[in-house]
Amino acid sequence: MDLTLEGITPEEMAELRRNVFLSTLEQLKAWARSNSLWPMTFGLACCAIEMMGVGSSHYDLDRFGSFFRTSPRQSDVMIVSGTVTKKMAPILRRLYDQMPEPKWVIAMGSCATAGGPYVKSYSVVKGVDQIVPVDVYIPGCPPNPAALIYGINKLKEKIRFEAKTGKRVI
Amino acid sequence: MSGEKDLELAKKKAAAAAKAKAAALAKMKAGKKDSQPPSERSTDPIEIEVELAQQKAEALAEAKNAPQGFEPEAGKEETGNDLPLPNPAHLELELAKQKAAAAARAKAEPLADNQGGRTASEPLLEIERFNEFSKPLPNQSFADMELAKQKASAAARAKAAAMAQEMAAAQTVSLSRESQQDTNKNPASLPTTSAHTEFDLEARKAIKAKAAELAAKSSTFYLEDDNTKALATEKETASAELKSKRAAMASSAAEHPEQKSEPIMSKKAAEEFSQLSEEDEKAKAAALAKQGGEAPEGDEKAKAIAVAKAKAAAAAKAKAAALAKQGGEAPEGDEKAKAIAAAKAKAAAAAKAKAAALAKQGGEAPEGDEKAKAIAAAKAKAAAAAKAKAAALAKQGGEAPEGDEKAKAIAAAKAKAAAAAKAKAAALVKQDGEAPEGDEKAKAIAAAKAKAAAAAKAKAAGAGKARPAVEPPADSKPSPNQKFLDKYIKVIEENLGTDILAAAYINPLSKDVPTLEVKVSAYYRTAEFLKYNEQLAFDYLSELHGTDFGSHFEVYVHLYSYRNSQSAAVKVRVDRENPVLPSLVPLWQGANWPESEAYDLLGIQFSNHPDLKRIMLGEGWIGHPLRKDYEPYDVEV
Amino acid sequence: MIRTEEMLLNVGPQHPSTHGVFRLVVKIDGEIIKEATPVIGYLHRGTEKLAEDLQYTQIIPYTDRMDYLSAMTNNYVICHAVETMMGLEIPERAEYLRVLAMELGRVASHLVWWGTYLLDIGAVSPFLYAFREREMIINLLNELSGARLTFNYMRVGGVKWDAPEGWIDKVREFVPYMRQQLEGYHRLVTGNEIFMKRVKGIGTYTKEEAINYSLSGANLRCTGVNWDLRKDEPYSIYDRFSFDTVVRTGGDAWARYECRMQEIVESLKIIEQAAAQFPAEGSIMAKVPKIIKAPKGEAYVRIESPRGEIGCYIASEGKKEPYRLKFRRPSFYNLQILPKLLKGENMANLITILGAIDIVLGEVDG
Repeated sequence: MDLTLEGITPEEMAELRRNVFLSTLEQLKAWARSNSLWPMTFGLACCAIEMMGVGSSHYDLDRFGSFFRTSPRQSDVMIVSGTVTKKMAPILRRLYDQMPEPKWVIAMGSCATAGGPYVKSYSVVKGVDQIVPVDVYIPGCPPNPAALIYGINKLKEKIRFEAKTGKRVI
Repeated sequence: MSGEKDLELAKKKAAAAAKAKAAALAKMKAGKKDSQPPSERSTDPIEIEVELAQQKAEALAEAKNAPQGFEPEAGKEETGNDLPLPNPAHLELELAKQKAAAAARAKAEPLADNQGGRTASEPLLEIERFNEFSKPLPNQSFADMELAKQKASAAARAKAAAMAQEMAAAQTVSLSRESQQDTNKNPASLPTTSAHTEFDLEARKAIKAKAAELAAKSSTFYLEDDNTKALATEKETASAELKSKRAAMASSAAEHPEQKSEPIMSKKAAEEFSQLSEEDEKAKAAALAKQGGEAPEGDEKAKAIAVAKAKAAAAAKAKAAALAKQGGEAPEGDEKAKAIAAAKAKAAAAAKAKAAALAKQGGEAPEGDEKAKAIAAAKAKAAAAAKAKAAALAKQGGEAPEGDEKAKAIAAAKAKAAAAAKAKAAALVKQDGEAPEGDEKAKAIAAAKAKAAAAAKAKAAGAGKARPAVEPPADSKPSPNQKFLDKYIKVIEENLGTDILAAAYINPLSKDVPTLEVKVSAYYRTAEFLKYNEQLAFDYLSELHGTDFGSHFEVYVHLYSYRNSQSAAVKVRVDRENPVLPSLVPLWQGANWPESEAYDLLGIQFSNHPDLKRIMLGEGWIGHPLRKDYEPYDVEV
Repeated sequence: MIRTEEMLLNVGPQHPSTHGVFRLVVKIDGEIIKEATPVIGYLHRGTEKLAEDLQYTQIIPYTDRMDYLSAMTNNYVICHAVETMMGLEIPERAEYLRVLAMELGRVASHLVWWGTYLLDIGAVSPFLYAFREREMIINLLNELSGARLTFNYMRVGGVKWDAPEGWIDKVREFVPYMRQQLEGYHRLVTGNEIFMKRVKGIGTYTKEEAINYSLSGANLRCTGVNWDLRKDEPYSIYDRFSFDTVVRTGGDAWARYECRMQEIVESLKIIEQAAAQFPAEGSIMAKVPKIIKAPKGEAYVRIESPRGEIGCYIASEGKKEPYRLKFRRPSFYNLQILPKLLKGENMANLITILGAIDIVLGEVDG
């Protein structure tokens, strides 16, 4: 596709330069997705309280375009906030499967990351990445709400980066 | 009573306000009317409210059943919004308070206005502001109430102001400044005028005082009937004049048989039962001695011999078992026990023939409970004191490291008493130390007391000094809960037989909780008895869990009786190979999930359980994790 | 006649109003619940087994994660159990710090309950208010312990950190502020027609039932049982403060609501008094050995947590680890009455009843 730029004044040209972007569709999609990440409320344990804290007045996650959905079918990202037990693991997997693509997982806290203080327990799954693929790990027991926001921002970064470069970030 | 005074005050204030208002009204009627606030709330509401306030304040005097309430809700009562307010009395008081405060303010207003030179139109403005202020409140009923209140107070003020204008400043100045400040504040902060808060505080105090009084009256238990009954029982127990009462109790016990466990209780058993309840403190041996027919009163020697005999008999009965028990207990025994033992040893050394016998018994201590030992020690000591003051002093001095200063003081007092009235006083002290509640002994004490009192006032004073002080060492030496443990044991053994308890002791590590180790066969029966027996009445199951002790499982049940404010721990050993226990769910619904948990994590089967399941881990789980030899089925990491 | 059919409905374990991983299998006939079967254990982490290999000090962080809304009381109960066994005398300053921390935690816990309960039954904004105030408490406790949620603050024999400079003043300032806010809460919610209709007369039980089901805390006191371990079996230094046991007689969700809201007021009273009496200086740790060993034997202590009676049983062999550690977790006991309460209720009342019990799943499952 050719652009005819004849008969355009320098002022108009400058205006065009300021207002017209060229990008790929992938990047455009990533831009949209990353700015409206809807997490699922998936509170499991202590971290869920901090997750609630993120959603409430003081930390106010809404200003980043994220707000909690109660159904997996409406959400983009699953924040696994808390200890995953062996009894809970199949349910977690099912919920993950119920989420529409594209979807991401944030492992919040050390329990979800690797079992945390309960790593030696007989009933705890040693990290949620044994069940579902995890995009962002947030350390802490529990992580500060600010840390969770940071983790969500990292996920946004990741989404945009992947769209831009076409490389998977692992 | 301060509460009533406060109410008086409130009434007076209200009355004064009413008077002032009436005067204002009269004047206003006579004079100009343009300064009146809107007509519909000009006069009547205030009067009515003051009336109301008075009435309510009076009504409160009767209905004082709840010490606290939700203050913000106070309003809703007025707007007719029917709320399930549990303590109307308080709310009404709150209302009355507010109204009285408003009235008081109305009275104070003129002074302020005289000074500040305010015009009567200001209150009108205030009313408008009130309206504005209270409209956006989310809770309409509350807002309405707020509005009404504020309007009323504003109206009162307006009226008072009008009155004040006409009444040309005849009042003092000192008060006016204060109220001036108040009125200059934002109208929203008016409820915190000094008059109001002061009155509020007073009223609050009054309420508290009343609540306290009430609490004292009916000791705040939730089962009023039963509680009063229990109290009565206790009183009966405590009083020394007993015979008729004991009979009454026995008959009443027979009259009110419990649902399930009572069939076992014959008339005779009931009689013994009542006896037992009265003689919590006494060692079992003593009771045996009594039954043997030997009069324990008065004569020291006779008693000692009786006790000795009884103890010997008891020892003969279950020596081996008791010894074994003791052996089990001894390693974990604390310093107290040791100290007591030491004291005993000393007592043995000091006291000659009687004391020796006693010491021997103390050494055997067939019951294995510390109290009996302590009694023995006390007896020995007292006997020694009767014999030789110096020896006694030395002994008690030796005992002191274990105790506090009080113990020393008591020892001294004891010694004094002993010195004063040799045999009698000694007997007195001994009996005090032993059993403040025992009926036979109480009689003996009474007798001894009377004699001692007759003998010498000074001696009696000395003894009197000793008496209140005797309690603390009884607390610190054995345990304050020992008497409860004794009671439990006696009641259980009387009703269910002796083949129930494997052991019974006070657990000093666990806040001195009386602990009963029950045999598996008698587990359910005992639990049932503990719940339904009127004297025990453990209606609350606080905790149930199992433990794997390697050789056996142990189920620990912590019970609490709201009626008697007493705890008890029941433990039962379960065979590890075939761990089956009857379920307690028919008795306490609260045992449902804990038993499931014990089944899940330890594999203890509870027969007769309505819904025994693997509550935590799910049915597919293999193994019982809390067993010490648990190996995870799926090894990972 | 309309023929109706029974239907099985699964609520949870991932459900926004169960506050965690609690599952209810409900058999419904139209809108009426015929039977409700709670399924728990989705957060069973085996703390008690883990504790058997841990030293007493190492167990304390695990208690934080049990009832994560009031970690301070959990901290306290295990320290209290070990201290009771060892017969330790706790320095006064430490006791005051403990009481302050526990009561602040109680207020925070009740605030979370208040916010989420109303969120569950349809009022969104109280949640925001509650968390605003809770954040202030969390900040206070953060200053004290260095953590926002899992404080790990108490130790056997005292507390880990002394109050930082000016902390007590901040607590003092907080009390009147909280009282003021509480008034606002009441204006916002209490007495609201819709709210009253949702909670009044819902989930009613009698005091006999409450006792029989081993309920505790506000769930027990809402039936008229005058029972608060802080008053009736005083531990720590609670006998030094004047406060009232909050008792209601309704036995319904409304009574429980009232109890909890009033308990905040009482807790604030305690905080105020404790801050006023706070000793100017003193030690915050008793003299304890480096490695804590509870004497051989067993102990069971219980204290009042925001959710009820939390107990701790320790069987010790005199080693530095407990032989057996068991927590009496109030939520676990309180939840047992749920099937009984739900039977015959409207489906819409399920959330009201469940929420009013105030459970924390970390505590239910242990």
